[in-house]
Amino acid sequence: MAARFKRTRAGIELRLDAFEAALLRSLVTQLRDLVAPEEPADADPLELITGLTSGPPPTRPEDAVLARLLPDGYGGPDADLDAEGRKAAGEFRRLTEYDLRAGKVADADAVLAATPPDGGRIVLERGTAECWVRAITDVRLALGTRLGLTENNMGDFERRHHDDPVRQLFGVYGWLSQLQETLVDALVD
Amino acid sequence: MALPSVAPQEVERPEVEDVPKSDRPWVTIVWNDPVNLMSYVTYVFQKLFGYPRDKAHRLMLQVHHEGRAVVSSGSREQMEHDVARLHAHGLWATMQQD
Repeated sequence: MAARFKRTRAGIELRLDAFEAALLRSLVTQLRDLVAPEEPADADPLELITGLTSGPPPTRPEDAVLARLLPDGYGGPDADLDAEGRKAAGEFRRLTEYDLRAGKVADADAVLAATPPDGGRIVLERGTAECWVRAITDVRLALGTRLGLTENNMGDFERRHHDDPVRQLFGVYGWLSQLQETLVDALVD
Repeated sequence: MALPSVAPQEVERPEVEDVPKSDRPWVTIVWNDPVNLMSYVTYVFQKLFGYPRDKAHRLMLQVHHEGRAVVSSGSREQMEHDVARLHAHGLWATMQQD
């Protein structure tokens, strides 16, 4: 697994073998399912289009991965929000969360549309590559949050036995990091 | 630094205190996270704010070393827009009044 993006005359290129293509499609599909906006059966059709709801403002998701992908617009890691901050965060979420989710779904779809199930050569235009760089970011954020990565514990994962499922997941994370790094290089070239 | 030899007769109130809270600018803050790559964060600052590469790089390093950096300032509406765009790119951003 040594896939990397390259800038060529044709565009931004990537070659994936069948295993890598299946892995990428699986991860991106899981991410898509996780962030896709909830659409209750009795929802007002106009409400689904506008993303504006009349109910109480949504709050930060309890799931750590979703909370990282859909963060509050107020606050930060240092302090809990006061009542005013919670109100502002809820209002911001009411106005933006639907679009944020829909954007992440669109980015995931761009990856799925361009990735042949059996792998092969993938050539991306700049706009599509920008969707990819966001989608890979989201998958890395999800895996990193699930693994509990911090700035200081990377070595703990590297030292685990290669049969350990956590070590394998960390390996997938590293593979995505390489894809991300080479894609950013291709975009800023 | 030299100190004034004569004590000031009158102490002027700092100007900032005369600015009502509603007129103070808002800022967008990006917080450090262990996942996003340094090159990616620099790329996002360049792309979203049009910053030259060296400014974007400096802000990224500030996020990395100090845990946070103010990346833009302006009206509340402008900051809502900036925070939403940063969230769309997977960066952890919040807004607050300066």
